[in-house]
Amino acid sequence: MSKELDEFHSLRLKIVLFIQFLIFLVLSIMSYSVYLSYKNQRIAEIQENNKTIYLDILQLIDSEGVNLKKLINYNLPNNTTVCIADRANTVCIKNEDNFISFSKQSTKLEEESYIIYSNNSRAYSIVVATSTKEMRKELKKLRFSILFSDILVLGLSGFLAYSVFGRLLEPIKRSRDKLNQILQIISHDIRTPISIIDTNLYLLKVKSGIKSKNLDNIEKNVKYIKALLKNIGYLNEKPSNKREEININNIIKEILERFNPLIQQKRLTVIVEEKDNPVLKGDYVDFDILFSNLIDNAIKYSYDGGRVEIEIDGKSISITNTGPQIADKDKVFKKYYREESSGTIPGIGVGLSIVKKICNNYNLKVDVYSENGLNRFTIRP
Amino acid sequence: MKILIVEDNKELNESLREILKMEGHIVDSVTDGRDAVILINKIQYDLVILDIMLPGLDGYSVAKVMRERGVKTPIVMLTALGQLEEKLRGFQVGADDYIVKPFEIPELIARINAVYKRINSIQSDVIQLEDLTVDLNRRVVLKGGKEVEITPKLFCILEQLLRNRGKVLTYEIIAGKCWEASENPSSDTIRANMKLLRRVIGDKEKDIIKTISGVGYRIE
Repeated sequence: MSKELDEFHSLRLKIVLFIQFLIFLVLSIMSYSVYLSYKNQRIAEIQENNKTIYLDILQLIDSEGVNLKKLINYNLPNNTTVCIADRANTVCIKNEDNFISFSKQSTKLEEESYIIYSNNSRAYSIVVATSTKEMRKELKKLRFSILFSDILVLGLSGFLAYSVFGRLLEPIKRSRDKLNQILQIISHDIRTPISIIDTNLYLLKVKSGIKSKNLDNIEKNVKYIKALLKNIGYLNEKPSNKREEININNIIKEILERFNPLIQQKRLTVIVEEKDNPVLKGDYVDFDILFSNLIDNAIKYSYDGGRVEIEIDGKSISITNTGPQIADKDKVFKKYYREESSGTIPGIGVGLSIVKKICNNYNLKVDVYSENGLNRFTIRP
Repeated sequence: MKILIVEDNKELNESLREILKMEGHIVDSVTDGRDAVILINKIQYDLVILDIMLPGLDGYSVAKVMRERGVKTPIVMLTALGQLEEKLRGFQVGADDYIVKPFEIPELIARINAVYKRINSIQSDVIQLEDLTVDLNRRVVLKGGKEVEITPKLFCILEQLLRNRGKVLTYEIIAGKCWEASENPSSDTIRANMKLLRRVIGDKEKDIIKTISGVGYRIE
């Protein structure tokens, strides 16, 4: 059940992340344009003010020169410096705490921090410069508030998206859980009847000593149902913590022996190439189920008279069979997924999802190759 | 060995009983957890096969009651519940092995033997007495190297005497171990069976099996 929850959780997170990414993009563009337009507007405002001051100062200059008295009395806004220069002298005034200070030297203005309006066309050149300190402070505040509201919006939308998609996905999750539950109930309920068929079949064979094709057929199918039940039971099993040393060559030999009747029935050629003798650590039952599923698939999906090759070397174990191409190599590991070409081949689409689950538990990589009439599953430690 | 099957499904109960009888065991079977507890109190079984979902008293409780009362009889749980938690719970209440349905019959038989051997820490299954060789595991008796035909009941009596060498086995113990709970044999029946057993193993002089008159029998 936990695996099921994880699947939905990750789907939910993926959707939420995607939506958050989109919202983030839109928010960034919007915030940046709001910021830029505000900044440009402020600059234009200051420039306009500077121009007004320039025009006012111009009024203070008459034919006799600069009217200093009037100039001192002029109501110069804070942060603004005005410099008037003729060919010989420069005079600058600055309002610092409502006190106009004079300096005969030209005040050095760093261009970046000032917005300057100047005109040199007359006998006097007049420069009006307003410090951007104030504006920069405002812009900084603006940036903070935009950032703050963006984060707020992102958080809020994330929360909303997460809960909305949780609700939207709930019915899907419920139906998957239900399917899983029903499968477990059915499998539980047929465990005892199958045991009864199995034990009575055993008694019938031992007691009567009859060797009949009919009994063999029943036995074969009882075995198949038993294997299926094992897989279904395993779907909900929690990962095992047991770590015993498992010889891969031996386990594969044992499994092949079990599948021998099926192999002969389909007239398959089975080749086992043992290039190495790898030992993996884990629960024997897990590895038995892992390789049983892969070998079972290789046999089931092989053409009659086809070939199954198992190659064991130090780095990988691969199981190859001749058979129809796998259409979707990613989806084959999904629970209950079956390829259309599976047709009437028995199965409910849990085998490979169990293979994946076991591989994940032991940090094994499983790859699929399907080309030129060959299907290969490779397990890499 | 003497085995009790506790399984509520009558058909499975019957077929299991038949299979274990074919393996040469003496088998009692019940379908209710409470009946199981009553029998376990009365009779000393060598092994109990216990289902979990039972009417009356579930398998976990049966096992718990057994262990609380100091009954050390090995328990093999045989159940349709195969989840790890259920298995762990089974072991927690005192099960010695846990088999999930559907099972492989040879595996079930092998596990029953393995659990029995492990719990009773039996080292050797082959016992040699003069010219008599008894393989307790394969349930084979050889007299002077030749295999002797022996019924499960007689083998059971022989097995009990061999496993308790030096001790006197009373009529009650023998009846409890080698007859089904419903049978209740008289001491005459046991005496007749002992006579048969002596004939089968060629012990007419009562050299191997000693009679302790009025009490029971013993193998030195």
